[in-house]
This record gives sequence, C-alpha cells and structure tokens, in this order.
Amino acid sequence: MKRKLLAILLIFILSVCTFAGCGKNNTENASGNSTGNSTGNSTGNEDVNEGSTTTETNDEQSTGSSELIPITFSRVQSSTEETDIFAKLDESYDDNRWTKLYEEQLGYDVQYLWIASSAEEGTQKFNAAVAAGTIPDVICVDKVTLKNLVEADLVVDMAPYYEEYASDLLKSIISAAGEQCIQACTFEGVQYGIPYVDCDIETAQMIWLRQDWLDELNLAAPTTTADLENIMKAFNEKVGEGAVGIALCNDLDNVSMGISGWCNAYGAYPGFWIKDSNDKLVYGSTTQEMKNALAGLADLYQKGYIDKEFYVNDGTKAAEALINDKCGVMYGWHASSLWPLQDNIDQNPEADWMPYSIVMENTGDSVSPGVSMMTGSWYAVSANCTNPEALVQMLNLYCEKVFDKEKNEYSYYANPGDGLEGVWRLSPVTLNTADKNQQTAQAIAEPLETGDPGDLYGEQLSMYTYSKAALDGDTTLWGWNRVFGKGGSQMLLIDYKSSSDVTLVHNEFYGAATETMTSRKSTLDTALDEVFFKIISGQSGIEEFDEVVASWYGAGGQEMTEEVNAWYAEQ
Amino acid sequence: MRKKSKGKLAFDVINFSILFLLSFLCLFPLLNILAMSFSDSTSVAAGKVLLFPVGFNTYAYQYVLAKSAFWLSLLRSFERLAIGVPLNMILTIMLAYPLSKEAAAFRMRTVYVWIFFFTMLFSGGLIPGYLLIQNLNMMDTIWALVLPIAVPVYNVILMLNFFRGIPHELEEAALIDGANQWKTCFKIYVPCAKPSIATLTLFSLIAHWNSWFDGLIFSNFPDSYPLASYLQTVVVRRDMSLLSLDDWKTMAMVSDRTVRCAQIFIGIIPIIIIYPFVQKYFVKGMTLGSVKG
Repeated sequence: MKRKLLAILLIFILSVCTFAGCGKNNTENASGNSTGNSTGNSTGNEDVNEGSTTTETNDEQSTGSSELIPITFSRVQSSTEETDIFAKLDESYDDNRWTKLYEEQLGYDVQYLWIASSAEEGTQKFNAAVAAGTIPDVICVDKVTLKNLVEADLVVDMAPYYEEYASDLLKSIISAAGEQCIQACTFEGVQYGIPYVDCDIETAQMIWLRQDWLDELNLAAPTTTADLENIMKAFNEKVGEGAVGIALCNDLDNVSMGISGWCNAYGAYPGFWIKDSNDKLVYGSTTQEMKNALAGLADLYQKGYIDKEFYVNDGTKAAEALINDKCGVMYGWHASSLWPLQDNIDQNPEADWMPYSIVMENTGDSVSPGVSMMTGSWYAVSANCTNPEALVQMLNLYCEKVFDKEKNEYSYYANPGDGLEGVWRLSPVTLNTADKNQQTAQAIAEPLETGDPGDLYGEQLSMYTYSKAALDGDTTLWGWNRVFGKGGSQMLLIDYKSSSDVTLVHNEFYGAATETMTSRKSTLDTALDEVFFKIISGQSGIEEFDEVVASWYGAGGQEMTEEVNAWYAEQ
Repeated sequence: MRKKSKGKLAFDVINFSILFLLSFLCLFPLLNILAMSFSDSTSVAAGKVLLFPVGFNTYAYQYVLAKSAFWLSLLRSFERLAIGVPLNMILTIMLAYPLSKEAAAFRMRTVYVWIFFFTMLFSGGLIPGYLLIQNLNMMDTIWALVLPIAVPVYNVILMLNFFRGIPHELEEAALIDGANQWKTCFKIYVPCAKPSIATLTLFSLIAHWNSWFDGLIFSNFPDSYPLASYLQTVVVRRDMSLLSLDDWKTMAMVSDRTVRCAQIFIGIIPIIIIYPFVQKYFVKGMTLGSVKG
C-alpha cells in the first residue's frame, strides 16, 4: 500500500516536472513579447532606482537610433480586447504601431513598469510603487491619489507644458468637457494634471419601462410620481403572482436600481452637494426634500410595489425580477439596456423597454435630473521625469490620429475594422471626447432611417451596424439600439441637455475628498443608508430621518460641510 | 444479521440524515457552480440554475480552454508546485529534526524555536515585502512565489512535535550502530514520519495552489500569474452597473458568469484528484505514532 502511494506520488511529481518544463518553453515561445516585456521592464526598473536617465538600456530593440528618451508608463489591461488584437496583429504592448509612432515622430521610447490585470490591482500596484518611490513617468490616477501625490511633491506642475505644447485640437477637446475637470486637478492654483475627460450628462438618471406592457395596457408616458405609481399598479395586476412594482437593490446610489432617480422627483439629490437657499452647499442626503422622497418610497413599499427584501438583494439578485418578466419599472442610466435589461430580452425576445425622462412630484414642475462630474481620472507626470512635455506631445499626436476630421489615418491607428477594433487602446495614453456617444447617436440617426451607412466610419459605423441589426430583428443586439437608436437613451440625454423644460442640477463639489471626508464619509454614508433602509421598509418611522441627520452633523457632517463650503468659496 | 433495537435505528436515521444534510451543505455550492458552468448564460442571469444545468452546453469550457492566458497560468501553477512543495518539505524536515532534540543535546534549541515562532505572529508587512522582492530583482520570477514561503513555520512545528513522539531509543540504537545525524534523520526518522510527511505535503500543496495574493503583488505582468491569481482577477465580480459604454464594447463578447464558473471548476480539479489519495493521512497522520509495542 505504501509503495503504491509512493508510486502515485512519484508519477505525479514526474508529470508535474514535465509539465513545468513545457511551461517554461511555452512561455518563452508563445509569448516572446511578454518575456521581452519583463526583461525590458526590469532594466527599466533599475533605471529608475538609480535615478539615472541615461538611455543605454534600451538599445536592444530600438533600431539604431540610440538617442531615444525612455518614458515609463503603467497600464491596466483590458484583457479580452487586447489579446484579440495581439492574436490578429504581430504587435505587443511595448512594440506596436503607436509606440513606433511616438518613437519616430517624438523620439520617445515607451516602456511599461507594470501591467495590471484589473483596475483594483492597478491601484494596489500603484500604492506599492509609491511606497517604493518608483512611480512611472506618466501616470493616470483619480483625484484623491492625485491630491496625495501633490502633497508628497511627486508630480510636476502641468500648466506651463500644457500651455506651450498642447495643440488646438487637444485644447478644444478638453475645454469642451468644462472647466470643472481642470479645476478638480488644480491645487492651490497649480494645475497638476490633464483630465481624461468623460461625459457628465451620462450620469443623469432616467426611467426604463416595459414598452410592450405600456402598449398593451394603453398607458401614456408618466410625468409625475403618481403616474408612475399607476403604471406600477397596472403592471402588477397584469403580472399577478410574484410581481414587483419597481426594481430596487441594496446599493441605494447604484446607477441602476438605485433611489437617486426617484429622489430627483422631489428635488432631493442624495450624495450630491447642492446649493441651499442661502447659496451655501449642503449634503443632498440630509435635506428636507430627501425626507419627502423617502416617505414616498416608504409608501410604495407599504403598498407592496417594492420587493419585501430589497435591502438584502444586490444588483444581480434584484435584476432577476426584471429578467423573469416580473417587473416592468426601473430607474437606471443610459447603459441600463445593456445590463440588466438585455438579459430580459435574451430570455424573452418579445419583451421591449424604452427609456423615459424622470418624473417629478407635481405636474408642471421642471424636470431636474442630477448630474455629477463623470471625469474620474487625470494624467500627471512624475517629478522625476526629465521630459514632462512628452505627455502633452503624445496626447497631441493621439488626438491628431484619432480625432482629426480628415481621418486619413483613423483606420490604421484607431479601428481598422474587419473584426479588428480598439487598436487605439495600444497607445499608452488615450483620450476621449466628452460628447462622443451623443455625437454617435446623432450621426447614425439618419442612416438608420434610410439603411445606408454613407460615410460613417470607426466606432460610429459599428454602433450603426449593431443598431441596424437590432432593428432588423437580431434581439441579442437590442440593447445597443436602445442606447444609440431612435428613442434611445442617448437621444434622451440630448433632450435633457437641450430641452427648455429640463433643468440640470449639478453636484457643486467636484474637488478631491476633504480631510474629514477621507476619514469619515464612508462610515457616515453607511449610517445614513441604514436608516434609509429602515424608513423605506417601514421598520422606522419617517421622523427617524431628522434624528439621523442631526447625528450626521454631530459626527463629522458639520466639519465636512464647512470644508466643502470653504472649498466652494475659493472657486 | 442481528436486529437493531428501535433506539439504535432511530439514532441511525437521525445521524445519517444530519450527516447527509451537512455534506449536502458543503457540496451544494460546488454543484451549483458546476451546473452554472454547463448552463446557457441567460438562464444563469435569470437565476434558474440550482443543481442541474439549464440549457446544457459546453460553450464556457470551450471558451476557457481556448484561452492562452488560462493555460499559461496553469503551467505557472504546476511549476510553482514542482519547485515549491519539495522545497517546503526538505526545509521543514531539516529544520524540524534538530529542533526536536532535547535542550541537552542542542543547547540553543528553545531560542531558535522562539525565533521561528515569532515570524508566525509578526511579519514585515506588504510594502516591505514588495520592496524586498523588487530590490532582489525577483519580480515576475517563480522565486518570488516560492522563496518567501519556503519555510512554513506552522508545518515545522507540527513536524517537530511528530519527531518528538518518535521513541528516543530509535535514535540511540542508530547512533550506537554508527549512523551519523544525517543518516538517523533520513533513514530512521523520515520513514517513521511518513504519514505526517504526507499530510504536510498536502498542506503545502494546497497552500501553494490556492495562494493568489503574492502572485498579484509580485508580478508586473499578467503573463506571470499563477492560476489562483489569474482566477482571482476574472472571478471577482465586476460591478456590472458601473461599466461605461466603452467597457461594454469590450465586454460584448466576454466572460459572463458561466465562463467564470467553468474556470473555477477547472481550477479545482487537480486538488480534487489529489485529495482522496492523501486525505486518509489527515486524521491518522496527526495522531498515530510510528513504532508499536
């Protein structure tokens, strides 16, 4: 028996050794690029450690031009798309069309210090690197991290380089996103970053309704909370057993199935800092309007429109009612048709949803959805970098290749087509235009009517193709059509922006978290949420709200409010 | 067969049903994952899959097995086992043997034991660990995964106590017959301690197979992840509701829950295979001595 066991163990170890042997060979052969990465990288590391910026380490790969200036980066891998690209092209992170471009035109050698496989891991890596004092030359971070870096004197003042080197195109793209993005990375008057601009309006809430049920029951689009309640009532009667009036999950500020859209109806903006009547900023979760909104929700709960156990359901669980045709009303945002609603269509191709503008408490109130800053990351340059202008120059070149109206090189550098998309991701620095998705929706509106894509290209063409296929009956692409197509969420957002009936309410605080926020905000928010759950589910009376607000102020809310108002006064 | 008394029968019924329930509770999550990996993704999203697949298909497995990243990390994990486990065991034995001697034979014994014990309670922490590995230029190498946990102190203490349980007379007999300490250790003590060695091998095997955090921290590039780290990055659930449109364009084709389930399942197969062979020592190995009579 013992011998037998020994034999088995031996066989196992032997086979493991053989496997491991293969493994080594495979890694070296199959991904020559990756091992190339790591060796190239370790030399890069030493480089930084010694604090020297000589370039002798990189002439292995560079083609003769030994004058190249190494610029180090880090990145988060978006695994599938990039492996797809590498499967089709003979390129790698360190050696691709973008790095060649930067090498040839600007003389910079792109090197990666690390590549993380998820955003969360990227943050961990970054923190470790900060501790080790080896941050990459060019970094892309959120505003809290940026603030810490600024306080530790690890990044350079970007403004002079931006002024001197940025092209008109780059400047126009960034200024189109609004002043806030720049102000958010400005500390004591010094601009330390370049925003990776994103679309603010896309944070606005909307209502998604089961269109096929609305049609069947002959119901009109809702304009007030009472209308919405009638719709829930009608839907519940139609569904019968197991019906849920409105989908709500246990993360109250979630963009899908959260409560903020409902609160907007009452003029409440949970999580926002909004102006009160005295022009001071107050925390939206603590206002009188919030109390009314919660009372409204408690009423819905009591009437049985909200799942009895919503406070234990996470998003995936709460979505099951939507997917299984048990619920026809949800608050969501522009991408809600892709998740969770697409799952409902996959399950029941007869189903259909449409986005509607949020409702208000009373008829005639101006529709006022809350909008906060979507831009979440900023490029910055390490204080150890010898050529901080590199970032701006590379962004210039990126914009020129990707956003140039002439688009001569668009297909080579951004989306070659034929199943090869997202090549722009290979560039170590990328940029978005803030209203990209709205532009797409507008650009494809007419071609969708006529069925002729005309001279659409790149992403707009893909979105046209998806939406067109959905219109022609491909239900697996339904979600895309509801984002970009006629009556879709992007069109609704355009409406929000342009319609005179809509007043957008902005989150007035967009700076980095203040001192008290860093230490207490999440605890305080949890405390508020707990009471909100209790109020909605009827375990506590609505009067509990005043108590928790009072204790919120007592436990740090007062300091936060003062800090935020001090910040506001500076703007 | 003798008839059982009523009381005994009742006891058996209750006993078996409780045990059955308990084992079912342990098995259920596993079966659920297995069922999800074979179901179509719509049914999984609709929450219809419990113990049996709904809309049976093997798409998820085909997808996973076609992914080179998965295979790379699997090989990395095998490499880690092949180097890490023998290293663990050799160091454990060589450390436990001298430390199991009486203080009379090895005067500083207690001091050494305390030094090792100290490291069980306190460690340098994450950042110093990262700095150490980085400055030793071990990032992205297999050594970063193997060397930091080369001496599993907990195992050493178990082994040490096991050696102490082996009768002193065996050592004396060996020494009188002319064996030196090396010989006594490897020819007498190690064979006597086989059950315990098998158990500790399993411990170290599982520890190496499951540990993912070091893989994440000590690798600069995803190509050098062991399987556990790779799975961790794909399995931890993304917050679907926060994905931007660009993310969706990326996600259009990709990993939904069925694929994740398939990867988890493939990931635990090797351990499931090894377990039955070594598992019996788990109990026996800890309690039984080596010399009888």
